[in-house]
Parts: sequence; structure tokens; C-alpha cells
Amino acid sequence: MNTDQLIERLVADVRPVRRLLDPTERAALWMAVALVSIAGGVAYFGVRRDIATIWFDVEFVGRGLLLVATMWLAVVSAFRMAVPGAERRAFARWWPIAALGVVLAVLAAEVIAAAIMGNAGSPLRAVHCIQKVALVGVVPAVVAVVLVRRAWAAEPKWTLVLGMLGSGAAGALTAELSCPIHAPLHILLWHMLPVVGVAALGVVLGNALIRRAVGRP
Amino acid sequence: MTPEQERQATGWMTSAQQGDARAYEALLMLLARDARGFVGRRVGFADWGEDVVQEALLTVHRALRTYDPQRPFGPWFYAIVNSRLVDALRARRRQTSREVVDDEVVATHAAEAPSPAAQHLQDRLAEAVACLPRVQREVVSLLKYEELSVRDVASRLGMTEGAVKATAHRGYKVLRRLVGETGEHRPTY
Repeated sequence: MNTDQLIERLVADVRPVRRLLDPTERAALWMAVALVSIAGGVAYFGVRRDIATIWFDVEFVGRGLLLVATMWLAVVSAFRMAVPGAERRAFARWWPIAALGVVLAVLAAEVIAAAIMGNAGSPLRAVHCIQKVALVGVVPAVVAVVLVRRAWAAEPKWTLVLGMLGSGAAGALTAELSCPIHAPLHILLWHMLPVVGVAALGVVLGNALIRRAVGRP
Repeated sequence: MTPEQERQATGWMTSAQQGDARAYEALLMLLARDARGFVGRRVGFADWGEDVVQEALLTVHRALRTYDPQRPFGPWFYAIVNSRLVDALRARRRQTSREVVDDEVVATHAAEAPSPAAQHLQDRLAEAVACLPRVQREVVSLLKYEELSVRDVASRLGMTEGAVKATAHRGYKVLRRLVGETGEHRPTY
């Protein structure tokens, strides 16, 4: 088929389309879904028993804020990457990774310090917190995939990694709100590292879930 | 695409999103011509260039709903063409790495096509330019492929001349790293 014939076919196929919302507005919609998931997760798994006093813990509040920042920055970047030419600065995609990186670095430093003191604790303590991250992350992840598929992502893997990162951060926030364990090793292994695992799923699934949707070989 | 064409394309695109077939046809004709120029300036004569143009048009069709008339049309369209060109160059690289060179075919076509080494370098350079961050890519493309002056590029992209020079410098540095600087294949940017 030559280009003129292709143009004829495309013209014959044109229909009115509903424009996508702006990436920031789509991210706000996603955020609403994620917050409902978090609320549902906390209701299901239970609120941590020190919830009334934990708000005065700077580390807990700082971690929470960084997780919210990770969620927001990750999905805004993902939805921008799913619109051709909308990503203004390439480094913007690194901001959510940096936010989570700060959380991981602080926790790793605390784990090392605790290990030097000889009270790092058991790595297998309360392994089930990983379920909270996975179960609560599923709904926002599915919504992120659906929203990305409705657009056109030139870089499917990157886009899905960011969508999954935001979803994993929602799961981690749930774990933070429902698990009363303060041990840095536990928080690092079973609240935060699963977020990295969920994001890594984006690399594995990016081509399968997104590439075909955008019509690429 | 000139600023006038861009305004025209934005209007046609807005109508096409409402299902206007005539506006859509005019838009696709313009885009086909523009994509052909975009690809041709980067990879020269290439028998697969028209495939990239067609892929770009198909993608415009699929991505119709993602265009927001509040945003400039050029970056939206060139991001699509650029992405399609990168895909084609990567596919071509995979293919050529598996190909066995036929000396007779090479000799027959030697007079009309660039040497394999020159074509290879041109492809690598095009792929490297396509992989630059958006602003660097636009600055380098306008300076080197469209041959605009620094002042024209600055006015087209809404940047200062100093910022254009600095961005171009950073882009060239990345290109040198990506393409390499070996002997006679040293790029002349």
C-alpha cells in the first residue's frame, strides 16, 4: 500500500474522538482512586495501634510525605510520557525515583547503624506486610495501565515502571499506616523494597501491556 | 514545519478530532510531506524511509485523541515521527547485524547509494540525535538538519541565543559520546 492509499483509508476511518484530559488531571483522577484503595486497605488490615501518637514522629511523617510525593510525581510523569511531546524535561521522570531513593537511603543507613549496635532485628519479622503493598497496589496499578493504554506511550517500559512505582508507593503507604513495627530493617525489607519490586514489574510487563496497545512491533 | 503551517495543522487537527474528513485529509497530506522531509534529512536516501512515514501517519491516527489544541502541534507530531524513526533504525540495526553481505549486490548499488560505512554512520548519528532529550534534539535538529541560524532557532523555540548555544553544546557532547570519534568517521558537527 502506498502512502496516498494509506491516507485515503485513514480519512475514511476518521470519527469524532473525545480528547484525553490533561496528564495532571488524569493523575488527579488516579490519585483519587489510589487514596480510596489506601483507605480500603487500612480498613481491611486495621489501623496501627499507635496512630494517635505516631504523627509526632518526624521520620514517619517524612516517609509518608515522600511516599505521597513518589505517587504523585510517578503518575504525572507516566501520564505525560503517554502523550507525545508532553514530557517537558527528560529528568522529570527521575524525581519520583529520587524521592523513593531518599526513603531507601535513610532506612538503609538506619539499618547499618542498628546492625553496628547489634540490634537490627530479624529480617523475617512480619513478612506478611508485603501482602499489604501488593494487594493495595493492584487497583491503582490496573487503573494506571488502563489510562496509559488509552494514550500513546512512546517508551512503554519507562511509562509502566513509573505507573507501577506510584501504585507500589500507595501500597507502602498502607503498610505504613497499618503496621506498628518501628524496626528500620522491617520497614526497609517489607514496606519499601516491595515498591521497587512492583516498579520492576513495569520493565517485565511494559512491552506486553503497552507496546501492543500503541501499535508497535 | 513553518509557524504558519503549524497554525494550519492545529486547526485541521482540531477539526479532525471532531470527525471532519476533509480537514483530516489535508492534515495527513501535510504531515506525510513533513515526515518525509524529517526522515530524509536524518537518514538520507533510504528505501525504508517511506515505511517510517506511513508508520508515523498510522500513529497519528491512533493517537488522535491525545492531542490537546492548547499545546503546540510541532512537538506532538515530531515526537511521534521521531519515535517511529528510532524504532525503524533499531529494527534495521538488528536486521543488518544478522545479514550476510552480498558483494555483488553491494558492487551493483555502489554508484547510487552511499557506502555502507557512511550509511551506517548516518544511521547511528540519526539514532543518537533521536535519542537526545527533547529540547536538545530540537535545537540540534534545527541547527544541523534544518540549517537555521542560532537566532532563528532561539526565536522558534522561545529561548535566548545563549541558551540555544549551551543546549547545542551539551547535545553535541552527548552525540560524540554516543556515536564515538574514531578516525575518518568523526562526525563534522
